[in-house]
Order: sequence, then C-alpha cells, then structure tokens
Amino acid sequence: MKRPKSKDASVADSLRGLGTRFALLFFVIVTLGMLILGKTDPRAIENSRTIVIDSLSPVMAALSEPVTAFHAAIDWGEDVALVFRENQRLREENHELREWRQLAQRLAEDNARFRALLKVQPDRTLAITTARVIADTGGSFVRSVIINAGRNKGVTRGQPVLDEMGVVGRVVETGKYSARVLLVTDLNSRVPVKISESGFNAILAGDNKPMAKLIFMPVGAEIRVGDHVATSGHGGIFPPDLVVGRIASISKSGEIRVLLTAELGRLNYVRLFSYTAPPTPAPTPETPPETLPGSEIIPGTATPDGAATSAPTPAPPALPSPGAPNGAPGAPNGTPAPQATPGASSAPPAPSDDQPDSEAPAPPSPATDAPGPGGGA
Amino acid sequence: MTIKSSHYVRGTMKGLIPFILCLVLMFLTILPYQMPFLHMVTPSFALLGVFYWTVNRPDVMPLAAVFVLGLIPDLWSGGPPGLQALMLVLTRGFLLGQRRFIVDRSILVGWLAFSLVALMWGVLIWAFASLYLGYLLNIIPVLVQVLLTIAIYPPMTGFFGWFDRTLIE
Repeated sequence: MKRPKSKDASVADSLRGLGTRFALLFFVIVTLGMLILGKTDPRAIENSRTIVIDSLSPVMAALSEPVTAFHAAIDWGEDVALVFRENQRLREENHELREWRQLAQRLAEDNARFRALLKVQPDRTLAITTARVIADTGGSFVRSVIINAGRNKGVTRGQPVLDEMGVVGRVVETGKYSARVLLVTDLNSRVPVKISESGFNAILAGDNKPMAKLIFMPVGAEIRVGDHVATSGHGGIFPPDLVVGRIASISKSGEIRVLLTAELGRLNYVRLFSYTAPPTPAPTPETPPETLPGSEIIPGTATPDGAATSAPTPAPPALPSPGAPNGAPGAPNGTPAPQATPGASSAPPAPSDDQPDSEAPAPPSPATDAPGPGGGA
Repeated sequence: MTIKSSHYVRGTMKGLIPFILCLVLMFLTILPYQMPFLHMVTPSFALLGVFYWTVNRPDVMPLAAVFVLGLIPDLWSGGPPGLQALMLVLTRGFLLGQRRFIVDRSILVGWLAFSLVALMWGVLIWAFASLYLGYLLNIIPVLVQVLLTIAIYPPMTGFFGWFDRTLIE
C-alpha cells in the first residue's frame, strides 16, 4: 500500500515548485531586460560582448590552432603533389607580371603628375595590423567573425578589414585582445561602392546571403554582368578603389548581385587599415578654374566649386527622401541592428561615430528585398 | 576534507559536466573551419543538451546553467542579446512540465518530442528576432539549422547518455 506523503514532504514539494517558478520568472525578466537594454543602450551590451569575447578569445585561439594547422597541411600536400604544374604556371604568370609592372610604373608616374597638377590631397591609408580569424560566430541572423587583435594592437571601431583578395568588412566591436568584424554580407552592412567601368555610385548591402546586392543605383545606369565593383571612398570609412567584387547577376526586377572577391567562407588572416579621408577643399568661386593641359572647358559644365570638368560626369545616385520607406540608405557599413533599427524610416539616424562627414544618410529602411517566409534563400 | 564536503564537491563537479560538455560543443561550432556555408548547417547543441538533460537529469542542468548556455552565443554572435537565453529558459520550463510523457520512453518518442520542441523553438526565435530587428528575416537558415539539429538527435542522445552513465552516475 502506498504510504501517503507526510505533511512536511508536501510542503517541501510545494515550496520547491514555487521556487522553480520564481526562478523561471526571474530569468525570463532578466532576458527580456537584456533585449530591451540592447535597444535602448546598445553600448552597455557592446561592453558586455567585448568582455565575454575577450575572456573567451584565448580559448577560441587555442582551439582554432589545430584547424589552421590542418588546413596548412592540406595546402602543403597539394603544393607537393602539383609542384611541376604549379612551377610552369608561375613561370608564365611571372612573365606576364613583368609586363604589367612596367605598365604600372608608367601609370603611377602619370598618376602622380596628374595629382600634382590637380592638387589632389593624398589618401592617408595605413595598414596597421594583420590578424587571424579565431571564430566564425555568425548564425542565422548575423554574419561576423572574431579576430585575435584588439586595442592592444591599435584596432579601433570602424576600421576596414580586407583579406588578400578584397574587402571583408569592418570592425564593429573592440575588446582589449580581440575584435568583432561585421562582414559585408551581413544584413546590417552598407558599403559605398562604385562600378569601375562606368563610375556609377551605389551602396553594397548585405542580406545574410552569400552574394551582397547593390542598391541605390542611378535610374538608367548601364551596368553589365562582369563589371568590377570597388569602394568609392564616400563616407570616409573605406578608402577608395578597394576591390569588392564583380557583378554576378542582374535579375529582371533589377536586383543586382555582386560576387565578392574576398573568400568570406575561408577567412584565415586579415589586414586592418587605418584610413583618414582627405579634407574637402573649401569652395573658391573667385578662383579661375584650372584645366588640364590639352583639355578645354565645355561651356555650362563648370561645377559650383570652380573646378572645371572636361567631360560630363555621371549623375550621382538619386538618394530618396528620408521618409521613403523603401529607399532610405543605411549608414555606410551600418552599425549592428540594435543601433540602426530598420523600420523606423522616419526616425532620426542613430547617433554613431560611423556617420560620414560629407553625407547625412537617412535612417535605414527595412530590408526591402527580404523575401517572405519560404522565399528565395 | 570531510566525507560530507567531498560528497558536495563531487556532486558539484558532476553537475558541471553537462554544462561544460554543451559549452565545448558550442565552441566547436564556431571554429573557423574555412568551409563556405558551414555557418548555415551548424546544429544547435545548446538546444540538444538542454532537452536531453532537462528530460533525463534535470538535477544536473539547473536553470542558471541553461541561462548561461543561451547567453554566451547571444553575446558572441552579435545577435539580439538575451534572445537565445530566453528561448532556452522557456524551453526548460516547458520541458519540466512535460517530461513525464517523454522520460523512460523509446528513442522514437523522444525524437518526436524533440522535433516538436525544436520546430517551436526555431519559429519562436525567428519571430522574436524579426520583431526585435523590425523586419521580416529569412526563415530558411533557421529551418535548416532546426532540421539539422533534429537529424543529429539520436547520435547525440547516445553521446550524452554515455557521459551520463560513465561520469555522472
């Protein structure tokens, strides 16, 4: 016969159940509080993130060493197996590169001469450090990596990050020994770019897909699959003319996808840059416009600042008004979601040190190309 | 050390094993394997661990441990802070109430129960994240992760079970 529970045991069970419920309620309130704090005070959450990443980075660095060594061994094996074929290929490439070097030297001399004539301020770009990717912390909603360089190596928020092939992203959080890099494919990433062939400016927007897309292309811009995409330097965050990728597809609806040159799925070592955009010269309308030797001023094409143009330049991208729900651009390589809240198209831009000096982008809009449930992945 | 204190230390160490195990598995998913698209196919070991231990041994997976298992990926991934912690805490609360229907049943019953829990978890995470960020996110990556997590349930159950029998019991 089953012995009935004693009164004390029943009370203990009730208390235990009550304690469990209170504990559950407590942790639910704490997590909801964190979500709210993430919206209202992103800096507090950011500080917590950097503390956690800094404390975990030695573990991640140690665990990632075997993976790096494994890949190095694979590469070594491939090199040994294909040494003869690789040798022949390198000889041919070397021969071709020698010709390119001579051409590059001539172009560099011409470039320097034109810059001196036009009094162009040089870009101040310094490569500050090389770092190794120690964790790929991206998930379903975020595309980012952790690198083993932080404030101890001069890394600061906003610095552009490249691999040996092209633009990877930019630093969005820095700890003392590590930093988070937001990849250009992340849905919060916005990078001002240009089409090298035509000169049209646009914004490279990530949406968590392998190929980022171009938005805010000028209406009627002629672009082709295969055109090269490079950074435009607008916004003062990325230096100009950094390789981004090539146009991979243009859909019937006008969606333009860019195949990135950087191998975001195979990141190992990356370089970080410190870039300072040259100051914008003050307009001097009294000064007669300067012209290049051999060129002439076409009447009616002098720009307000007095600099003459010898050929019409492409129209800048038509930026929509801040209230437009589907077109407001985000900040270049925009800050993570809690700071740049999409959907608040009529709200003022989130305060951020990433805002470009020369442009005041309207607040970001919802990801207009985000498909509905089950839509294209 | 007295018998009572050594028993306490041993009990504490046993209680840490599931937590550390889940943590190590989570670390392994974020290593830079240099394989494209791998981030789309990493399962949720945190959900697997919380489900298994809450159903079979809730005494060794306390609520605080579940909270930390969700909080760490929230902080290192850059996603909405606290979202995964919230989902895991709620999952544990739900499972505690329902474990009597799952515990000591066949693995198929456990698998079915886990599938339902994982699908609910995935949809809720997607919905909360979309609400938090203010726009509709693509649900496909979440579904892929959920399906993969469901697929590896049987071997992971065996793995956790081995630890349970060998180290904890």
